[in-house]
Order: sequence, then structure tokens, then C-alpha cells
Amino acid sequence: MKTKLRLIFSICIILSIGACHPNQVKLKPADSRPVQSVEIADADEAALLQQQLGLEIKEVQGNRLYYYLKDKDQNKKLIDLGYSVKDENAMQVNYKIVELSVNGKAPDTSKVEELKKYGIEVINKEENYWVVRGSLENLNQLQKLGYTIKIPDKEPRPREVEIKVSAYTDVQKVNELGVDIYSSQVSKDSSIIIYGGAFDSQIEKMLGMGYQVTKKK
Amino acid sequence: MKTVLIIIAISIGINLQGQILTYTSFRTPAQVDAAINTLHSAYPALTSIQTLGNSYEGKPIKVLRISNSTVNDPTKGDVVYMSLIHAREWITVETLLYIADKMLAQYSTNTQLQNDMKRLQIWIIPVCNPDGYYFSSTPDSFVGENRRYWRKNRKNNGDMTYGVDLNRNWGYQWGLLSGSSNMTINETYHGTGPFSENETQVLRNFISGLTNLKVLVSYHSFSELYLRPWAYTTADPPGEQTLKSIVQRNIGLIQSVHGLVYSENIGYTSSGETTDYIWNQNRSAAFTPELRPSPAGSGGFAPPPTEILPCAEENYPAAIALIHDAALPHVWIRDYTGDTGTEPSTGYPWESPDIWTVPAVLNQGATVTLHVKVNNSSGAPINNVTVEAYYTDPRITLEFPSLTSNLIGSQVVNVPPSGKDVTFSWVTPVGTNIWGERHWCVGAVIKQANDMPLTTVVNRSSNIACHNFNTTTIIDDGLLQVAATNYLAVAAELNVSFNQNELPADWKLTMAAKEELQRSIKLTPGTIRKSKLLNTQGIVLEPGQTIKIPIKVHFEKIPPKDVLVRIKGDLIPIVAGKRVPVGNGYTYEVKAIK
Repeated sequence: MKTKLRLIFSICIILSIGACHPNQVKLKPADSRPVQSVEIADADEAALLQQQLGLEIKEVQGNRLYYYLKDKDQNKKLIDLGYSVKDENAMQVNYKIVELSVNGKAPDTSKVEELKKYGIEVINKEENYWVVRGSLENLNQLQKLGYTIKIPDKEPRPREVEIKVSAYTDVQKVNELGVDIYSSQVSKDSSIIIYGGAFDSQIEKMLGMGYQVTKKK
Repeated sequence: MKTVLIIIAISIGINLQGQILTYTSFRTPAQVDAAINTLHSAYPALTSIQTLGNSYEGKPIKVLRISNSTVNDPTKGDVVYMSLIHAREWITVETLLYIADKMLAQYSTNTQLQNDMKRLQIWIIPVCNPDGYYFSSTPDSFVGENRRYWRKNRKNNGDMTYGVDLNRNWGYQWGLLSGSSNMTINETYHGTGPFSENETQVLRNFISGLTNLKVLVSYHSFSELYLRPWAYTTADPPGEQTLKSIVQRNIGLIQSVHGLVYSENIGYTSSGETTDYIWNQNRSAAFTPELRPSPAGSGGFAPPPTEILPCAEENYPAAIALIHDAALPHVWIRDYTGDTGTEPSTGYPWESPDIWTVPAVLNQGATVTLHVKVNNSSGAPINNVTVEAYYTDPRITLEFPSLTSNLIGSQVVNVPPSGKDVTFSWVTPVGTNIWGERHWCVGAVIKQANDMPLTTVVNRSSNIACHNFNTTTIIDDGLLQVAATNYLAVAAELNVSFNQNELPADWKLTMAAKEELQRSIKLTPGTIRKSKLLNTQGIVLEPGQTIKIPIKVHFEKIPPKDVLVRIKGDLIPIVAGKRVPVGNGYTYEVKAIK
């Protein structure tokens, strides 16, 4: 009997060590409530669902509204109103910003395509790691592939940049990339200089669009 | 001796202005709080301080109310000035404090301000984003954090990012990726949904609770711009001419102080923005001044403190001009017989006796003389008054100018104390209006540098009036035709009513059942769901849709004189929050025959 107990105990120890690799971060949603979604026409509809049904919106992405499930009664009301309710996998609809490295170094640039395949967006490229954003499920997948994930101590910040473009329509294009535009002015050579804050991912996109980008700091 | 003289000069300079606060450095959040307490202590009979609600981190969002009494008076017009919705834009707080400080200092000797305060209450919200301001003003805890340039609030997004851009979180055109970001890490992140943030909810609820919002100004920095709706698109909003006139007047006033010329365009779009929401929801004028410094360089959020005073000084006259616009009834047009210029007016606001044509009955393509009588209640001549005349199809629109109105003409005139009859030669349109009649609604807008209309809605401004009147002959059981168009940017429900209680006792007006009328209107699934959510009772129309509503007139005997049938249509937008009805009415002078 004692031997059997020892054996079971030993197996438990081994299993628990195996499940919690010291280099792996266990990622889980910040909010543990189930998430569901419905299709909506526009932001007005999102606001009405919030106001009239007390829907607690997790987020709106395009025409999809994700919400935290309150109770069955709320879902019945949604269905009665003509909505098609979809269960969501919390690991797929929750995202995290993390520092990503391989063997203590920033990933090689050749890894960009692999990361894209997993829906990972590279935000900033630091010397020893990249700051990336991905769903919890995809970030966990990366850990299994040998990437090291670290939760940042502080929120990553954009870099101060000067962007030189040729027309005001370009200012709008820069805006649509999510760049934090401080100001813009016409320079002596009739080009437009935009002062702002941008992450490396945005800087790369702007360079790809043919804009001249200078990092200030 | 020299030093002493300089000190005296500085102190005299400050005393000449009369303000009690100083403007030599940027205040910390605690100092801003102390500053509004100081203003309240100095002017207890003119001010009160209220907490509108709390931020994400539980910090209070405070408002300083200025009027000639300390009690909230819903019969007065409301003017809202707000600043620091973006945490790093510190100069906006100083400018707004200066405006409040100087206004209060001048009140005792300025009769115009005293008259303004009899009609208005001014709401000053210096810090709309207290969490962000606190974060921005505390030292960086690690190199590269750059807290000074923090823009958003401090909500924990749950993914290792913080903050939502509070000027991308308002409910109109929220979430467009052309003018905001769905990435939490970006500075223009729009939040999880419209009004997802405590701060925007607090501001929205406060503004929705105001009974008579005249104008809202949301101060930002920097780049020296004076912006107007729309922010989400480069297309013109309804009433573009009115908003543009005010902006250009204000730019001129800013320039008159230190010579700086603010521009009108920022060059990119912003969705879910404050002033777009206000203009769309309320049709109350709303502006975004982007203050000093100039757009050169990246240090604009942290200008030297020497910029504070000139920035505040140059923005004061424009702020006060808007207050005068909101209060002064100097030049005005009656909405109906008996109108005294009260805003909003009651009665039937489409029966202005100050707008008429000669001849009264319009034939298509005929040249007629359109008369607009401009009244002057100031007791003195008022010069350089712009009078604009418009016509529009008499469907639902109680707005001038609107996206569907056509300019007949514009004149600049001098108006003596007795008023002035301004005439326009007008070639009436060839062809029929939407329901086959040659009848048009005529509207007029008057503008003067000290008295601008702050809305496009006829009954909410004594500077705007319209005349929507027609004569017709009806046999018993004949039909009056009414047509309504949803000219709003969102779906709306239409409620039609008529003046049954003013009609002869044997007159009965009936219109088809709502369900029958609704069947002729095709709606999108989204609009159907939204209507169900709000349990709408009226006829639902998509933007741009028109419905014709025949109204059957039945009477027993021919009345001794013509009967005035007044038909009113209210369009109520299908949106969350306060649903402000807009609409118009139409008066038939009916000659009854058997």
C-alpha cells in the first residue's frame, strides 16, 4: 500500500513539473467570464445593446461585438431580437502584449513570417527582444516552439519621429496607420513634415509606403 | 530702483487685468483644483463647483459653473468650455482658467457680461481626463517612458497596455479605422465600444442633462488651429456655412490680440470625436481650438511657460464672443406671430410672419420678391448684418442651412432700431417638389459679428426663421399630402401629428395605419434590430428615405372661413442616449368645398 502511494505521489510530482516549465509563462485571460459575440450593423447598435440590454461589451471589432455572458435570459432576449449568438474561445479573443526572445536574444528577422502565420504583430524591435501582440492561444503556441515570452515591466511606448511626406493626403494615410500625430507643417521645399510618435511596426509600414522617417530619440 | 519699478510694473499689469490667478507656470492637478477653489472663494455669488462624476481611477471630474446666481437654472442657455481631454495638453487648462478668471474679474464692470449671465450659465470643465493628467505630471519612473507625452486616460486594457483616447470614444461615428485605432497600444485607441470610458460617460451624461446647450468648446493643443465638425470625414456637415462663419470670426478675434493666424484644417480625420457628437446629437455649435505653439517641431505639448499668457489672452475674445452669440437677441427674426425672441421658441415655428413673398402664390419659374424682416432690439443701429435666404423642399427639415437647402441670396445690410425689410429677387424653381406641388419652404439666417446663430435649428435660434405655408382646396373626403424625408445620418422614427383640437368640431383628419405606411419602406436588418431594441412606435426611415403620407379630410359642413391645418412631423434618431427630435411642420390654409 505504502509503495503504491509513493508511486502515485512521485507521478504527481513529475506531472506537475512537466506542466509548468520554468521558462514558460502561463497566459490566461484577464477576465475569466465566458465571451460570446453577435454581428452588429454599426457602433450605434453596440451602444443600444449596452443601453437597452445591459450588455457588457468586451470589444467591438468591425461588425462583430464581443461581450461577457451575463445569463441565459440576456441571450434569449438577443435571440428573440434576431441576433445569432456565437460562443467564443476566450484564449482566441483575448490578446496580450509581451516581450518575445529566443535564447535571450531578439528573434532573427527571418522569423517575421513565422510570427505572422500565428497572427502575431511585431510592435517594437528592441536589442534583446521584440515587443509583440498576439492572442493568448497563439502566444502559447510560440512558447511550445521555443520562443521565450516575458510580461513587460512597463507599457511599451512609441518612438518620437519626424515623417516627411509629399501631400496632405499622405498625412491621412499616416493617421490611418495609428501613428500618434502631434502636428504637421509644410516645409520650405513644399513637402509636409509630420511630428509624432510611432512604433517600429508603423515606421516599417511608412518606409514601405515611401515616406522618409527619422527617429528623434 | 530699476528692480522695484519692474516689480511694480508687473503687479500693475496683473491688476489691470483684474485676474486673481497667475499664469507663469503650468499647474499640477492639485494646483488646478486649488485654482478653481480660489475662483469660487473670490466670487461666491457668481460661481459654484460641482463634481460631475469620477474617472476610471476614481478621481473627480469637476465643473466650475459661472452665472449671475449659484443655482442651476434650466431655463437659461448653457455654454460649455472643456479642456485637457488629452493628458499632455497642459496649456489648455491654463487657457481655460484664464478665461474663467478674466470673465469673473470683468463681470462687475462689464454690463454686456452682466446681461449675458442673466440668460446663460457657463460651465468650465478644466480637467476632463484627471487620471491622464496626474500620470503625465508625475516624473517618469524609467528612462524612455515619456509620461509627459501621455495622451489617453489610464484604463487598464488587460493586455499590458493602458489607456483609451477619450477624444475617440464618443458615440457618433465611433470606431472608424480611418480616424481612430482598434489597437490598445496605439495613442488613438478608441476603446472597447462607444462611451466605454467613465470619463466620456460622465461628460455625455452631464451634457445630455443640459436643457439648452448653446455651444461647446473643447480646447486642445497644439498647432494653432480652430476646428469645426466634421472631424470624422472631410465632407461638410449640415450647417457648414454657419459653423464656418463662426470659425472665421473667431480666428479674426484671435489674430486681433497678438497677430497669430490660426488655421482651419488639421489634415487628417478623427472618429468618435467630441464635437462631432455634439453637433450631430444636439445641433449645438461645437469647436476644437488647437492652441499654441505653432506646428513646428515636436515639443509643442510642453511649450515654455511664457507661452501660457499670450495663448490665453488671444483666445479670450473668441470665448467671450461665443457667450455673446449665445445670449444676445440683438438682431432676430420672428418664428411665429407673437414671438419675442425667446430661445427656444414655442408656437408653430414654420409660420414666420417676417418671411413672405410677393406675390404670395408661387408659380414655377416666376420671378418673385422674397421679403425678410430683420428686427433689432438693441435700441441702436446694427451694421454689417448678413442676411441669407434659402429655399428647400418642404419635407422634414427645420434647419437652415441644411444639406438640402439652396441659397437664394445673401446680403450685408445695416439694420436701424426699427428693423429692416430685406428683399431678394428669386426665380422660383421650375418643376414640382417631392409630392408634385410647386410649393417651397423658405428660410432665412441672419449673422452679425456679435450675434451669430449657434445652431441650424429654426426654433432654437432667434437668428433663424422659416415659412412653410400653402393654400389648397379640399372637397369632403379629399386628401392632404404630406411627405417626409429622413435627412439625418442615422435611421430615425417619424411621428406625424396634426392640430385636431384647433379644427372645427365636425372636421376629422385620418391617416393610414403606421403598419401600412411602414410596409412601403425597406429597412436593413440592423435598423430593424435597433428599432426593436428601442421599441419604436413611429414610422422608421433609413437615412435619405422619403415617405408620402396622405391625410384624409372629412367634414360635415363648409366652414365660414378657410381652415388652418397644421401638420407636424418629428424625426427621432434611433440612437442610444438622449434622442433629440428634429422636424418641421407644414400649414395648409384649406378652402373646403362640397
